[in-house]
Amino acid sequence: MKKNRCCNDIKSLIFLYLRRMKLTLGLIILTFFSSMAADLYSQTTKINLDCEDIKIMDVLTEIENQSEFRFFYNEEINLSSRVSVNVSDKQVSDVLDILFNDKPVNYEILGRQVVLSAQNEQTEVFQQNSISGLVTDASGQPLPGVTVFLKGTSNGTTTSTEGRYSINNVPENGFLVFTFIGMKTQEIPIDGKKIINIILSEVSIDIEEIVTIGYGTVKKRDLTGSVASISAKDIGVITVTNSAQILQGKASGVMVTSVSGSPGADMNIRIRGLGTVNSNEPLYVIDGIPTSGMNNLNPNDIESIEVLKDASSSAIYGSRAASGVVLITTKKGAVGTPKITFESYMGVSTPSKSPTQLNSEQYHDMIQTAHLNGGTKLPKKLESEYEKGYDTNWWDEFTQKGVVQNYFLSASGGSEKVKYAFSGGFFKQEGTIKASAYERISFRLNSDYSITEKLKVGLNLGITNSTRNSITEGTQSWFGLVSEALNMDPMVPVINPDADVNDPDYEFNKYGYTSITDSKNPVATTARTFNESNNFKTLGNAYLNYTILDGLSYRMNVGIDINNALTDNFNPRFYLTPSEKNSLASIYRSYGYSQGIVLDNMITYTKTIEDHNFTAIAVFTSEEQIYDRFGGSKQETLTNDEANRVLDAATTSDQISGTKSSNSLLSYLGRINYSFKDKYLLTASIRRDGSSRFAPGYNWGLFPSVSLGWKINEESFFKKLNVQFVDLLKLRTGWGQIGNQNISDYAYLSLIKGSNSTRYVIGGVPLQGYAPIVMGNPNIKWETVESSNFGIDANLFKNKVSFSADYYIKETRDMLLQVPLVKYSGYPSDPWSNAGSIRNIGWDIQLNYRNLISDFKYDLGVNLTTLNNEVISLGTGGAIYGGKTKLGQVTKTEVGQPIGSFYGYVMDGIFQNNEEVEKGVQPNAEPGDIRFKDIAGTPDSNGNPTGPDGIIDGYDLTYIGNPIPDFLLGFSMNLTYKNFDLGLFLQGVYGNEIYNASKFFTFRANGRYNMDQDAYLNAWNGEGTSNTIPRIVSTEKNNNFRNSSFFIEDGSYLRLKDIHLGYSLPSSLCKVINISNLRLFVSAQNLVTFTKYSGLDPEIGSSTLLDVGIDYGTYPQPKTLMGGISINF
Amino acid sequence: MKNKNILSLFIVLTITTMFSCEDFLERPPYALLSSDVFYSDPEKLMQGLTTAYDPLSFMQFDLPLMTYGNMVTDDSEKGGSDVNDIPSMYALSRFRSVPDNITSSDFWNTLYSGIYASNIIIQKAPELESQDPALVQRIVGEAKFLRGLYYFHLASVFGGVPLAITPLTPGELTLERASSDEVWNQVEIDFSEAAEVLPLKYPASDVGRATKGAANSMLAKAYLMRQKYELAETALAKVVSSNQYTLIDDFGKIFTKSFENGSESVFEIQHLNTNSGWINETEGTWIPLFCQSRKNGGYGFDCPTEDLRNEFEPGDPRLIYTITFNGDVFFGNDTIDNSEAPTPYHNQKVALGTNERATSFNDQGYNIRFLRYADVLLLYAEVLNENGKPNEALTYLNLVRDRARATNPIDPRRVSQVINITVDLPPVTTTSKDELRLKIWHERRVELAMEYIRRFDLVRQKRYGQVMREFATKYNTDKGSNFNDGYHYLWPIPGNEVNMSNGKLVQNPGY
Repeated sequence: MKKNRCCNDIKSLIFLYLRRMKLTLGLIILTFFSSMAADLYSQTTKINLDCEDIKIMDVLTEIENQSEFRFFYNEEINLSSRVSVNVSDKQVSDVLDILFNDKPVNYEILGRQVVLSAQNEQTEVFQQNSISGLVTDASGQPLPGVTVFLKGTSNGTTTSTEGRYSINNVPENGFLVFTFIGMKTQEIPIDGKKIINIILSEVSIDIEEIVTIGYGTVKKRDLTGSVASISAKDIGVITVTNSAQILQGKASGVMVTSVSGSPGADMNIRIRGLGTVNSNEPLYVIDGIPTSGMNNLNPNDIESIEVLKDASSSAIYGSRAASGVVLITTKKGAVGTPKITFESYMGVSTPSKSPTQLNSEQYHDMIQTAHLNGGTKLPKKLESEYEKGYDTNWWDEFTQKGVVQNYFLSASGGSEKVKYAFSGGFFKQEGTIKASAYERISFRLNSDYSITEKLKVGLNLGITNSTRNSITEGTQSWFGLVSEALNMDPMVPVINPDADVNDPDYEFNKYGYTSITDSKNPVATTARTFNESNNFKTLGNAYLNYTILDGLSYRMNVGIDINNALTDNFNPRFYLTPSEKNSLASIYRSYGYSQGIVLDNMITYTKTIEDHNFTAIAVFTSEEQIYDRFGGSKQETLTNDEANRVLDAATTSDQISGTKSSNSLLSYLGRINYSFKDKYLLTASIRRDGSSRFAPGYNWGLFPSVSLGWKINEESFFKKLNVQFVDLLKLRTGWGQIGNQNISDYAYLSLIKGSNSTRYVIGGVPLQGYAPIVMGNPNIKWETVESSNFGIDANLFKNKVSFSADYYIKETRDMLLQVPLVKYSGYPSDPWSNAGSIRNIGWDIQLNYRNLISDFKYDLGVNLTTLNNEVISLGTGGAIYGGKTKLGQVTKTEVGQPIGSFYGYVMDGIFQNNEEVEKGVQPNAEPGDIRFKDIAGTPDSNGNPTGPDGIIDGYDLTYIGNPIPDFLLGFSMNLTYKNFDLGLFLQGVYGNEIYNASKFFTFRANGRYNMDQDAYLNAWNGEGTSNTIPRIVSTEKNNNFRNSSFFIEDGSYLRLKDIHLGYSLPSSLCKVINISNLRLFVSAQNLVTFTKYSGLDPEIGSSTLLDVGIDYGTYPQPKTLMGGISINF
Repeated sequence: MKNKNILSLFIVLTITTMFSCEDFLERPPYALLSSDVFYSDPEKLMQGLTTAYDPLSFMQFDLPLMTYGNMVTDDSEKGGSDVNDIPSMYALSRFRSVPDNITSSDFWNTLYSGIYASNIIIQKAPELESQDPALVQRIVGEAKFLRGLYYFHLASVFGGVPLAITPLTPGELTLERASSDEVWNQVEIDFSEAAEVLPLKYPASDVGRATKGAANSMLAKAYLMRQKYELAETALAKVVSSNQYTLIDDFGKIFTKSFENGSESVFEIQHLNTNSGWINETEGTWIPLFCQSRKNGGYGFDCPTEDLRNEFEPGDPRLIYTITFNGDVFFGNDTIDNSEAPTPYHNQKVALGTNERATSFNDQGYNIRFLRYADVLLLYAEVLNENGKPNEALTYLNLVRDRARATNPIDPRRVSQVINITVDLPPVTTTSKDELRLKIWHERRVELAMEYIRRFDLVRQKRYGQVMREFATKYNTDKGSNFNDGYHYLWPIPGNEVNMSNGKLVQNPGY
């Protein structure tokens, strides 16, 4: 049965693939691109000449100066005859016609090359100036697709599938440049040779890799700070649906968790532990523009991601870098012939885990047992409902096979003067739960122009339109649709057979409903969910770079980040029962606009004086954010039809609202990178930030940092040791202070506002009241993070092994926090304050091994991160309670404990019989109820704790779990054999606990809601039957489901995030169909998870730190099987 | 040359931006006003006062009011679909409260938000008094009435609570619990001071505001919580002698729309259907549909008990205006079906006919009859009897009974009714203090049934435990069987408050 289903999956997959890919269209576009690239230039470039009596040769030089045309000719052609030419805005062919009108010269325009030949001698010209050869890798394997071009020109080609190339019209004194991703670029002087065969060597561990560090780059081997770098090659063949997933398990010190398995859901990125109780979102910088996240970025567009982990590297971002910085660089064009890539995949997702709930018979039995045990009345309709004989598995009904599809087309290339890369992508993902989906259309254009030797300008622009449909998920105050589905009565049919087919609202009224609980039909709920948010994002920057003197340059950068967000909500009119109905259809629509503008002015100076090498930068930057939103809602439309889901179709209850806010930041910063004899490295930076978020007088903060590096392997004493297997051995240390200003705008002001929630009726009329809505704190100031880092980098055995380890101590002071206050304050909201300190200590370790044995190439990587989090002080305030659930607040943050530790009663088994109850201290308990531990009593008069006092009360609450893992693990393996490649990637966490608050919904056997089958089958049911799951009973006086260790579970897991198998077409075949490379692959995401956790998914993200690790009824991560194709032209 | 020009342009630009920096860091708080500048005239003070009234109309006020008024007594069962429909209310109704009870914390939070709003008005008023002394004094009177009302409920439900009579600053959030007496003293002060300055009545445009009569009536109720019968008599006498109030001629009319804010109304919580939003954005209330039978378009909460039904004398027509019975047919083809309720009854006093209901169930335009003149008269009778004036007491008791007798035994809102009453309500004549006391208590229970005063009566009459235990035995139920006189007169303060106070707030004994 199962097998059969699997086959169907694959069949439907292929079918869908062919249907949706619209391959023909893709190919037409590609053909168009390649021919366009050749002809376009000569047709669009206009020449202006005004020459009197000069040599033809000089005319040609002038044309070369004005354009990118290059002329190739041999000496037999006479170009010294004099001409007069006066043209304006002419195509090059017109000019050439004039020049050679009466001369025995032919010309041919090939893209940007113009070949002149004496008449009748055309073929010879080509042969005399051509070079050919073979490009192989170190093992002698021919390398297809290598770009070969003549240095300083755009004359180039790529190697064939046999690794062969042939290039015409090259001067004898030129250089040929060979480039290929993952290989060292080589420049070979031609010296009149006709055949040049070369071997490209692999850039094995990328020691020459350039790393982006914010306002500049540095060679990886010269790094002094702690930076995790992931390049396109590492991103490589793993298929991700969200850009942040690229970081998951790949970089040590970085913890990435999905907030939910819902398509388009955010990812949480936490760098080196939890620094503050407030937001821990790192700062995201895309091509130099600070932005709010990377969710809208197409993963295919990413060239590299750098994570600045320690203060010495992130201090350059000053006030907002307290939680680390994620720098993202998008793909840029490179000199060479145009490269065109098409990539696509298609897959099917299912929930990574499906729960088992009671069937009708068990449910019926559970209700009877519960009411019998509780001595309460059975629901009146129980028997009649049961006799109807339905048995619905609601989980199966409200989940679906979600199709995932991705298409990506890009073209890049360029000359010395102009480089370009542009791309378009389409991604669509259906959720595993009905009514949830995500769609993204993205375009990107990156271009760089060298106007003169000294002046460069460029533009990077990305446009993304994303649309998300989402369902209600469990939160602090709301139980989500997942819990709803798990609680639904199985005796109800999905569709009610008695529903009136002629009812105009049949589409929404046709669903079955329960008569014995208040659960709602989850399929009906998803059918009624019209919850769409659309975001149109424009993120881009333009820069100008001017070299003032050799080594001294000025750069100006203007960046924009504009978001237009639309939210659409429609609640149809429907009627199932008196309590499950909506008598008036309602519509809500909102429009939000946010605009971020950043202006950087930067001076860079680089100088080498003998053994001293330094680069200094000075930057002035200003940023401004404006946020503006308005929304409106109305009720009562004539019908539920799609045509009536607009505001104008509704007639009553008009409501409108709008908000606006703004903040700004001014910064001055400087940094110096200095190295002496390439052995001793120093980086020092300082940044001064002014923020509008603080009261005048508290605006400005100063953030310094310094770090040192020592390349031991460069020392003469080390060289004398003759340890040849060491290629690099570097020690690093750094210290710095960074800031956090991540609080709401205007937090320093107490503010008053009137709204429809501050009205009261007097004299029969609603009077408008004005009420304080924000309690301000005029003394609020920066949060400061001080961190120290000690690291070692080593490359061994000809760079086959690379190892990097860092030990860090990170202390957050004046932590910004909205401390939850006692409610007797009467405050409308909790004011922001600088409360206390937190310390994170840990290790980041990364080890890679890469080798090649003839055709077999392999590459193993492992990374490990340890986390140790402790609250050092909470200032003048006491402990902070958080993690609100149905059971009250379940986390406590207190000095000496990790942030957000779980805090509750300790479950001490189940009372097995009356004797045990009598011996216990819970007078209301009965056998089968949970026994809680009596730990302490009322403190004595000095406030000292006392021992057990025979009463279970607030003093018996204690720490019952830690949501922070002991360590995080990532393991990746990539194998390549001939044309096959196989990769897998595992990610896991160890040593954390999860507060499974969803057990409140799935374990309570109170004769009302459906529940977990294991909990039902293993519930206490007489002496000795269970010591872990309480009895089935409709009502009990013991309050079994109070906040206790009953809900705590081991949250460790190891997950096979990705496994893929690829096959690249042999080069001979590629040649036949005229492409340079084609790879087919199949892959699976989240295929297997090893965990003891009983809930749906152990990967639990959270929006705030005080509820980390609380499972509110998670939308489980999807398990996705997919197949795809990638073609390079 | 050209490039140099470009460069200088950028340098100029850079410098210009740098010089404008202080302005650049100033951002206005759009659509918001800083509290430092808001309270500039009595008009603004009045707008602030509106938000001090506003918590009265919150669902987090009226639902706990219902729970603590009716459900925790022998008058009402929680209802809903079954015991697990709103478990926090069920736990209270079974005297099984734990400190994490959401109904309890909703009440606490709402009452304190009202206290904060009132305190701001009382604190800001003196600065503005010179602008319009009469108006500002009245505003302060209203704010004190409201603060008294909020503390009244806190003290009644939780006992001694943190007592703030100015808006607390964050540094002051380390208050301990005041004693119960300290809170009641403050309640008495607030109502007395309010009674001094508040007007006897308002023009139509201000109906709904606190009056002198409301303040004196609440003051009497506060006195009665500590059995101060003499003081209570004085306060109630002021209300009765003010000649502002009369009983409506027919008991059945009191709860109909056209008699809202009628001659019998001393203080009503104002609600209006405005279709203006969700939860507390509306000006309507949840109560009518919350308490309507599940089979008749409601949620089926707060069901009158058999014991309450039996309290009515057979000839008392008030029964049919208090309770709906299976099979009653209301206009709008609405046949009552109480079959899902734990008792076969629902509360007719808060019911709205199908034609009177607003579509959004949480937004019903129905005023909560918070304090009726009948309540005042019966309290007055009670204190007169306690103070040894049985004949005067009989006068006021019989005023209420006379009106009941004059009530139409056929409900004009019904097409047909199941119970037919032959009116027979003889006047009470006994002058024996003990007998009369019981007659008055009976009269209060039936006249004010389901009007959220039962627990108040049982607590101040010091017979709460006895009544509940007898109820449990009589009906063989666990409701009340575990009532412990040692601690069930008070409920636990919210557990989160105890936690967050870091030991400053000590929980009530027994919880």
